[in-house]
Amino acid sequence: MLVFAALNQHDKKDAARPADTLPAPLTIPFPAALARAAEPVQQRLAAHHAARDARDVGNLWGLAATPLWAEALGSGERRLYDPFFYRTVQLALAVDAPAEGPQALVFSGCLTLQDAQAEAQTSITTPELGCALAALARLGVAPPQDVDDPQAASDLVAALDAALDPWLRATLASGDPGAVELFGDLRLVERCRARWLLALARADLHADRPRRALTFARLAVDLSAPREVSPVNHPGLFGTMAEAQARSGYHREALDALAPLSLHRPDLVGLTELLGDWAILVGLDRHGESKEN
Amino acid sequence: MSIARVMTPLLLAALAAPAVAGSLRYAEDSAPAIVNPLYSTTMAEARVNELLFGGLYADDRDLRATPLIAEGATLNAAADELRVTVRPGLTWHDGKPLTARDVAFTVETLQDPKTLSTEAGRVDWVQSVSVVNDRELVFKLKRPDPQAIEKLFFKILPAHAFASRPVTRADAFRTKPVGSGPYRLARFGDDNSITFAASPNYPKALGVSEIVMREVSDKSYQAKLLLYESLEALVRVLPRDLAILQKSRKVELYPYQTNSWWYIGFNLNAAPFDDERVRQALACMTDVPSLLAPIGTGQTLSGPFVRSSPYYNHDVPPWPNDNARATELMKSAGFAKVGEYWSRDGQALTVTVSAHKTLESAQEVVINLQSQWRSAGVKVDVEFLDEAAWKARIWKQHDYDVVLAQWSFDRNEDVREQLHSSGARNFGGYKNAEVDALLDSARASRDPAARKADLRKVHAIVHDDAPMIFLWSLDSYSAVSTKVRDVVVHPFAYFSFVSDWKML
Repeated sequence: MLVFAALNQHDKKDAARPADTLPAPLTIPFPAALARAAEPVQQRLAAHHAARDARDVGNLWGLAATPLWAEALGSGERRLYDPFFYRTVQLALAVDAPAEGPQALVFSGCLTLQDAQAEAQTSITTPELGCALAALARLGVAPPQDVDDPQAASDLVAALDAALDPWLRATLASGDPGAVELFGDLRLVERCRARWLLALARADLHADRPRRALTFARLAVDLSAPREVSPVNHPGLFGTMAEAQARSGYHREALDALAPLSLHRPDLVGLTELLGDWAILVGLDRHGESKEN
Repeated sequence: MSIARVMTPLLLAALAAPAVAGSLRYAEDSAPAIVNPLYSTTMAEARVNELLFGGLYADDRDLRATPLIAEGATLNAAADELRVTVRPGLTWHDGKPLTARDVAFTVETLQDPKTLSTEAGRVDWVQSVSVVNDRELVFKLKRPDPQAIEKLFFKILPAHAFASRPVTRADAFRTKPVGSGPYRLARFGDDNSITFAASPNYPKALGVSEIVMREVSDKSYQAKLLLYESLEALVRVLPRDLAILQKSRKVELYPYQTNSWWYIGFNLNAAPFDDERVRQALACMTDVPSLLAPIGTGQTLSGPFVRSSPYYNHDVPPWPNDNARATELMKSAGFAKVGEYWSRDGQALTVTVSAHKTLESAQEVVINLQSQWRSAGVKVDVEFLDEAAWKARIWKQHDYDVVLAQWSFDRNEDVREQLHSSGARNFGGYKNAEVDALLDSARASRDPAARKADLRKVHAIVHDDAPMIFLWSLDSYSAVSTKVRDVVVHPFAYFSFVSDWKML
């Protein structure tokens, strides 16, 4: 499931580790082509770690303008820029932000500065990312148990919504134009909610609980545009959903989950064909059924 | 305007209907016309069958074949003989024992050419069936099939409930069905509702004591009824209601895609629709995205598969909305514009579009289609048929010009019945020898790549032949009250795992 992992990879935390441990092996291998990159990837990663440790992205600003990898393609050139750049900027700025007020929260799944700092120390190999467990704890929601029970996921999301809804309603009712813009127009709360659920889904996949992962992912999707990548519907959400479906027997349905990504990721064609073959093989001996309406 | 002022009497009646403790009420656009697995043609009927009847095998929650009525099955070394053992102690809803004889009766009835079952294809792999004793029977296969167990999903009928074979569609069983599923039919209501009670004979305790199917033909009210807690489940939510229901914390939404697509189907047995140029011209007169926009979000299609299907041919674009091309095609088919309408042999082209009364949002689509085709020079009449008229006029007598309808497929997306010249669901009369050969080859193929190649060719040919104008697949979700717990919705049959559901 390397490709599923790769879909999620750009949102994983390659957070600060002590510089003396570098270079360390990554859980998710980089594409082989990157090994031929003009600039060694390990060197770029070291720059990231240094920026996060020092909370100073000055050096990284300069490096970001240089593509990690470039190749001739037809009459033009295809370039791959640093996919972790903005994440590092976000983390470095988050730890410098004030502990109070929207600046500490905006564009982060973390509710407090302390959570963000704890998150920044999380190992790159740990999938529980997005401040989900810290956010649940602060909202008084019990963390999930270690069982692959979809109803447990539904109950947790219901508890989370019960904590968020009154607060959001009251905030919007306050009439503060900033609050209305952030929480009503930009839908930051929904975005955070989706991010937490996605983090929980990833953690469940990591722990081989695909049914519960699927429930978390399903409940994270913004159904006002269910087939579109959007600020709420993170691309990793569709990848996670597809993997959870494929791992719980729903191979054909996993193709539905992947479909929104294929518009944006032409490299998914191979995976989609493979998954399609898998879905066909699973149903090869069944009698197909069809009905009207 | 207050909500009460816009409520129809139907809605008020539904709201007034009291909930019974442990009762789950779900809405269908149209009540099933028949409760008999031999003749089910609609999704509403398939869902009811899932409550009432069982198969030898069924899907488990990971969609693997698992024994249900069968205790097990073994295939001989040559893979041409399948010995099935029936689980001991099973009984029908009327208390009579379920035996191997019931299984044999079901197979023979499905195969009886006089039965005219729409489901006969489900046992077309069986040469013969013989009963060994009450618990054992042997299937002789037409050809070796190492995976024959995967075909034991057809619903089993009680032999004692039928006086003789063949079993006709009008058999009294349709109103007094006896099954072995988790629920038994308790009563038909005057309002077209059907109440199912938990079967005391089912070998597992059920967490929902009663299920009530409510016919709510005005789909726009279904979401309101759910929010007012006058329903516990909607099988299919209108796309425009999705966001509203998602905001409600009283319901949870489950994907229920069923690989469904809408189409405009021509009657190829009737002129001028036997001429592909006329069909193609009408396709070019149709602005599909404009038809789709008012009813919700979905994806337009160019062939008989949904876009996420492994069989969808992405190289085939939908017919363009192109009046110049339509004009060219109409002229080549011998039509000329007389006044504002296309005419041939002194007759203006007049098309009657038939739609099922309860096909969700069909009225909006048909009215918009009428307007589009009229402005392109075609006179259009519209009719909405109830279930009985639909079955008689469209399926049986083929007495129509054009239908607006929808097909739903399980995960196999087998379109053979719709497009093969011998297909049981090919009421439009489409015939193309190359398509027949490709469909046969696809069904026989064990190689996914070969099957994909065959069906992608089918897609391309059928698009060009245009026996149908392929419209769209909608984003389809089911909504279930959070009072119902441990819900898992089967991707096609919906109620397959209902015996695990529980009511708070």
